[in-house]
Amino acid sequence: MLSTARSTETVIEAKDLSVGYEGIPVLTGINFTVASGEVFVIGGGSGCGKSTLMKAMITLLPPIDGTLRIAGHELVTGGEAVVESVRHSIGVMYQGGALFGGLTVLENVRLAMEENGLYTMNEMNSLALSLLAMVDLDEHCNKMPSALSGGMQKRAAVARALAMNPKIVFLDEPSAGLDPISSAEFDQMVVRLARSTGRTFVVVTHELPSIFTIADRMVVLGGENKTQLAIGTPKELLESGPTDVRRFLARQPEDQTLQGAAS
Amino acid sequence: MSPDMESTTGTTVIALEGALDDGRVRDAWEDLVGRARAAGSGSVVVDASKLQTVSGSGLLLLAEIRRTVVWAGGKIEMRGLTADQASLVERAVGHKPPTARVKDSTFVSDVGETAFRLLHELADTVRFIGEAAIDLVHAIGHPRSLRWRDLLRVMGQSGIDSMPVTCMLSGIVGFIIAYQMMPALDRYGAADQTPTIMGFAIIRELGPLVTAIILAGRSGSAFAAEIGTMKVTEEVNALTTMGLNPERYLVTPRVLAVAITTPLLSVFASFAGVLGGWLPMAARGMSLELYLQNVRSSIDQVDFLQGVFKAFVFAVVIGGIGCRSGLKTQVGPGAVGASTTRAVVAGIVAIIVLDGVLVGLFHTLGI
Repeated sequence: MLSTARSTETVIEAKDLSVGYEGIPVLTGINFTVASGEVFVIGGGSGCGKSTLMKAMITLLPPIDGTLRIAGHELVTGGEAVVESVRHSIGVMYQGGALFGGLTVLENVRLAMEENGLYTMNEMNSLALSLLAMVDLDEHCNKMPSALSGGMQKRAAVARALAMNPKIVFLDEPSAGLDPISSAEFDQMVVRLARSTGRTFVVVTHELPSIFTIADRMVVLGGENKTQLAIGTPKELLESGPTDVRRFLARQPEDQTLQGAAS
Repeated sequence: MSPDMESTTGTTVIALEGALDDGRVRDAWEDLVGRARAAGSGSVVVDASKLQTVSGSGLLLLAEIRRTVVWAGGKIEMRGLTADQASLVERAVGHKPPTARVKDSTFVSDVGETAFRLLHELADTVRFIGEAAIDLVHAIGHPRSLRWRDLLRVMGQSGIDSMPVTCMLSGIVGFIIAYQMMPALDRYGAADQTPTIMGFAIIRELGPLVTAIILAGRSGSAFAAEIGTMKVTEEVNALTTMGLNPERYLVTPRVLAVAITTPLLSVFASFAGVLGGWLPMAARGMSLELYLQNVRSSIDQVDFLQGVFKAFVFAVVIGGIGCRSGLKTQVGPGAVGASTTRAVVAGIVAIIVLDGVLVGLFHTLGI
């Protein structure tokens, strides 16, 4: 288990938050804060609303009610300008990588920098190469995304997410579709990046090995009414969380007797 | 072997023996399920203790019997199944009886809803194309903001690559029109007016129209498929969360590319159409030089510019519709295909309707 939050500065705050589609709540009663530098996992079973919550946090879905503050910007009551500010404070790695197929790996990482026009081309190339080196992909910088494996595409997507120096990096199901070794390597990379850069990482996943490797704290979603079931460190939740949460973390279906908490 | 069935005091007993394989299930299904249904809310006992083998479809038959009895409010006991078989049959019953689908719409409400949806779509499309046109003007004023690589790639695809097929089709259309028109003109002794009519018809009308139809089939569909795939793979979301405007990033270079190439292509298509119209005249001994002279004398710069202007308008509309279809792509395996179809159909309908509007407008303006 990794150490808990390194800073008391709150970069994400959700209070009585409801999120959903077209004004109809899918997930309600969400309350948590994330501190700067923390690796925070959003977990829960399939269909529990993890991705919906993340969509709201990365500004792809307007939250319905409550408070959702990302990097100091309140999204529920904020307008388009607030949304733009949040987008400049975050980086996102999507489940499949979502690299642009017509651009090389280097160009993908450079893209956001190009559009913002803050650097010269040489500076952007150097920065992009450094970011790719941080995810062990500098030797593949001139390849097209289609020439990379799934795991490499995800690492390149992390480099792209870091390109604009975001306060918060969101990772959507990073382990999905990866073999166990690649998945473990990816987890190690996340921990390394979080500790070395001091950035906050919010990871949506239901992969238990990943959760126990990377999470400083986690929120578990679920229940019939789709809400927040518990929040805490994975170890705390496994040992003393609500029954549904312990079942989830112990990988025990309802028709099996819940065993004592694993060590 | 037929199933053994008997009724005792209020309890229906279904005794099965031998092998409940696929063939036997097919033969016995209606009969056994009918017996279970006839039991109503009574008790049913299924005795499978003498069954030697049960196939997968046999278990489904047992589940259907169980479901029929349970959902009718009756009681059922299954004997002689292994624990795993009994568990599977019990689970297959489901949680609750399906409720009948209530049709909450009528023909009139369906028509009304469809009309409102189409109007909403139309308004949204007009808004989108308007925004694309504004972005186009912005891009021309700020060329550094353009994705030049995309612009040149799409110009190559929609211009140079489309040239052969567009010119060939336009030439054939020109040939057919001239060939079909000549007998009618012959009746009035006016076959020598064919070049005049060809000049009008091809340069003002058919050249731009054929070009636009090819554009809808090639570039409109390609835009919808490219952007639709990017939507499905979350690349559009990635652009959004990177703070880049997907409409400006993806739509502007594509619409600008076709807005540049289509008028040029239309000029070539018109020339090919006029040449196609010469072939039937050549068979009657008219030289190409004389034919072109007659065509030239029948049209002026305004006719020519009218055709070029139409091609430009068609290009912006088709490009806009193709890109919008891509951005509106839903999820699912058929989503990109549906967007592509919508782009082509809507594009062709739009240009023909728009052509009618432009003809009326030019006529009113006396052009």
